[in-house]
Formats: sequence, structure tokens, C-alpha cells
Amino acid sequence: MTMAIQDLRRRFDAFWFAGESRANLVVTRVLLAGTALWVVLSRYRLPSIVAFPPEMWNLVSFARRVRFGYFLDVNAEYVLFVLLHLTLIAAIFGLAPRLSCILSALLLVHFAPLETILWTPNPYLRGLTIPALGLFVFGVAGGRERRRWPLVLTQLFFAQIYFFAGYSKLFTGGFGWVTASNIRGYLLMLNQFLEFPRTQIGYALAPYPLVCAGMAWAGIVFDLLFPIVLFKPSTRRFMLPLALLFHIANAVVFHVVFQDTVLLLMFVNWEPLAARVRGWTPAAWRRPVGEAS
Amino acid sequence: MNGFPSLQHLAATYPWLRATAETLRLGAFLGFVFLGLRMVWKQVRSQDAQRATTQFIVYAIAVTCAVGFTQIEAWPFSNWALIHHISQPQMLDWIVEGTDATGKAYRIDKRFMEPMPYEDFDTWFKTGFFRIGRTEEEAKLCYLVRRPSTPGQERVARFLIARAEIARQRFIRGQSPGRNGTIVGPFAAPYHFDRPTLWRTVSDVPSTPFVGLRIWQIEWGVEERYRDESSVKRRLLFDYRS
Repeated sequence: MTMAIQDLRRRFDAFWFAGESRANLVVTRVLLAGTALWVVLSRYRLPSIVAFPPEMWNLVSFARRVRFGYFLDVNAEYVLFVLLHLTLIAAIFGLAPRLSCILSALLLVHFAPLETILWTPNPYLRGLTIPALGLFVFGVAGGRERRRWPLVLTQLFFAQIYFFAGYSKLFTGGFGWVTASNIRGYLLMLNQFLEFPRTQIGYALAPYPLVCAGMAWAGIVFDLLFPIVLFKPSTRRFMLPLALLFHIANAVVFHVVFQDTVLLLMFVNWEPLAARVRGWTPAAWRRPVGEAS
Repeated sequence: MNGFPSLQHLAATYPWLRATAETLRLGAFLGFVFLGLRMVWKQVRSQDAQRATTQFIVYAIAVTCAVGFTQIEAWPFSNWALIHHISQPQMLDWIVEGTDATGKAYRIDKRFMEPMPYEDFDTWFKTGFFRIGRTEEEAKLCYLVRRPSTPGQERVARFLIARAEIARQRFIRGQSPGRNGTIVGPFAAPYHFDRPTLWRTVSDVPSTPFVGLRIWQIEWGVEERYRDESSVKRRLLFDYRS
């Protein structure tokens, strides 16, 4: 028993605490902060939602306000929102990385639910969930961490998107979800509900049961298998292009857009490129071996 | 497989249970923050942080998997459920129109609520608007029969008319009706659900200000509408003029 536990611990440590290239850690931090900055710059009036008429907040309980800290007036919220932009810029450039990443993450957790808070406190799939979790992980890890665990933990959060998206379909809809009629229903319903014209590809695909069944099975199998990229890096060669194709297809056929698609790049090994860049850099610019970053 | 959603149903029934659930969700996040900061504290004091790091990782895996497998959200730990129900054969939706001084109605472009995504405004609108100033039982009747508006609903209607009017003026000036692109222009992050724009030319908006708001409920069978685009039933639910 003790041997088994020791073996488990050894495997755990080998998986999480192996060394990691500084380039991969830096690129992931930049991707997380950059994605978050892109989304918040695109919603630059997000704090104005706290000033919506109080009647529009009628479904938001006091406990929910406490959970996300919605007590400040709109001007104070704008000050915090500006601070969020500054901390994200600092995180991108690696300025005080621990403080900037932790503050960015906490402010993202405060602001992200504003998009949906009137009816749900779960603003997932709106672009800020993985940056919030990932930046907190990178923040507590600190700028000097050279082991892989912050990167792998963030990758795990990201892989869970696919896995639990697949799992939730079976959990809620059962195997009835993986049928041609269900996908046909979604193709028609989403195009009708979102008011797209009849020229859309979704309408063109709906009459073909084999195509609909193929989409259902391909989607759910891909979702459930995606976490393999964590354990078998060689699978990234085909899983990452498939993921890109998956998101393009979702956007074109179902009109579902995934703002975090660029975060797939955190599964790429950037070290060869970084080594090449280091080779081009004049020797005087390079950091001496052993100097802390 | 559907056992856990009934727990969510139970939580929705009892207000004290809802408050407890919110507290537990906050606790799950605070646990994550506490374990992370404890690790930082040990690093700063030059203590061995390996054990604290392991605990942080294990906690993060445990809580995200618990949320995922139970499908009970505790954001920022999410259940990641998307388009997970069986598609519905019957659909209900609301159409929002603004009216000008002559009473002529125009569809309001979905970008008028930016930065709030239209789908999130729309979901609140359909579930929360008729509850303003009414009990849940009274609110249910509003979906069936037109009823006089409450003062709170009128305040919200005036707010929405004002936003629609700002959007109209921006559109007439040649700008986007919404403001998401003000800083990043056409590179603004899209919303989760892509939607076609309703306002394309100046004829899509009135030349004079919006002064009223109408809500229509539309209902259709998905297959029927696929065969015949016009097979949609409309019912006026709300008509307000400021």
C-alpha cells in the first residue's frame, strides 16, 4: 500500500514538476493576459451594467452580489476596470508578474460575470474564464517558476472545456443527443432563433441524416478525447488542427463562436522558435547564464 | 443520468438553499485563492512550498472535476455545458420593437444593449421583465394575456427606449449602433452567439426618435417553420409609449 502511494506520488511529481521551457511559460502568460485584454477592450463599457435600473437586477440575489462583490457605484467600478487593463498590460510584459497576474485574475472574476449576471452567474464561454483561472495560477507560481505545473494546470482547465462539453451532452440529453434528428433540430432551431437567412449552410446540411449523425458523433468523440493532448503530446499534431476546424465549423454551421480559440497555442512547444530567436539576438543582449529574470 | 439537475431544481425552490449554494460556491473559489496565496507566502518566506503547491494543484483538479461531473456551476469553476439539451420541436421567442411618434414600429438592432450580449439581455428579459412589481403567479399570466404595466416595468421600458434612441442616432451618423468596437474597431471580440445585424440601411430606423416599446411573443414549430417561413404565431405582450 505504502509502495503504491509512493509510486503514485513519484508519478504525480514527475508529471507536474518536471522542468519547462521559459519560452512556453512566458508565451502562455502572454496568451492568457492578451486574450483577456482583447475581450475587456471589446467591452470597454462593461462596468455600466451596474448602473442599469435596479429593476433589471431583480433576479440577482443579495448572496450573489456578495459572491462577486457588486456593491460599488459605477464610478468606482470604472476605476477598477482601468486598473484591470493596467494589470493585464503589466502581465503581458512581465512587469511584477506575480502581482499583476494575481490582481488581473481577481479583477476578472469580479468583472466577467457582469455580462450575464442578470440571469446567471456563469459567464463561461464568453472568453474570460480560462484567462481568470490561468492568470491566478501563473500569479501564484511567480515569474521565477521553471517547472511545468502552471502551464499544465492551465492546459488542464482548457481541456476540461471540451471534455465537460461532451460529458454534459450525455449527462443531460443521454444518447438521444447523439442522433441525426437532434442535430437536425439544432441546425434548424439555431438558424431560426438567431434569424439567419435560408442561404446558411446549416439549412443546407439539415436534410441529410448521415451528415447530421456524423456531426453529432464526431463532435462528442472529439470533445471527450481532447484531454489526451495533456498526456500524449504527440497527439497535438492532429488534435490542435482538429480543434481549430471544430471551432470554425461551430461558428459557420451553428453560429457558436469560441473567443478563446487562440489559447490552443499554449499547447504548442515554443522552445525551438525561442532558441532560434536567441540565436539571432546579439550576444550583448542575452541574459547571462544563471541571472534571475 | 439526470439526477443532479433535480438538485439544482431543489435549490431554485428554497431561497435559503440558494443563499447557501452561493456561499458554498464562493467558498470553493476562496479555497482556491487561499491555497494559492499560502503557496506564495511560503515562497516569499523561503520555505519549502512543494507540499503547498501539490495541495493547490490537487484542490484545483478536485473542484473543477466536481463541478464538471455534477454539472452544478461554481464559476469561475464551470460546468462547460453547451447546447446539451435535446433540441426542442417548439420554440418561443420575443421580438422587441421601438415605435416613433406616429406609432410606426421598427425592430431594434440587437447591438443596442452592448456591452451586454443580446442573448443574456434576452434571457433576463423573458424571465425577469414580467416579474418586476408582480408575484411569480401574476407574472405567469402576463405571458398569456396582456396586462397593465407596472411602474417598474415602465422605468425599464424608458431605459430601453433611451438606449435604442442612442443606438439609432449613432447608426444615422454612420457609426455602429453598439459600442463594443469603439477601441478595437472591427477587431472587437465577438459574442458567443453570432447574429445578423437588423439595421443595415437608414430605412431600417425611423427618422424621428423612438418614443415607445413593444414586445411581441412569437411561437413556432421548428419543422413547420422550415417548410413555411411564415408559420409563426405572434402575440403582443407589452406596448408602452413614453
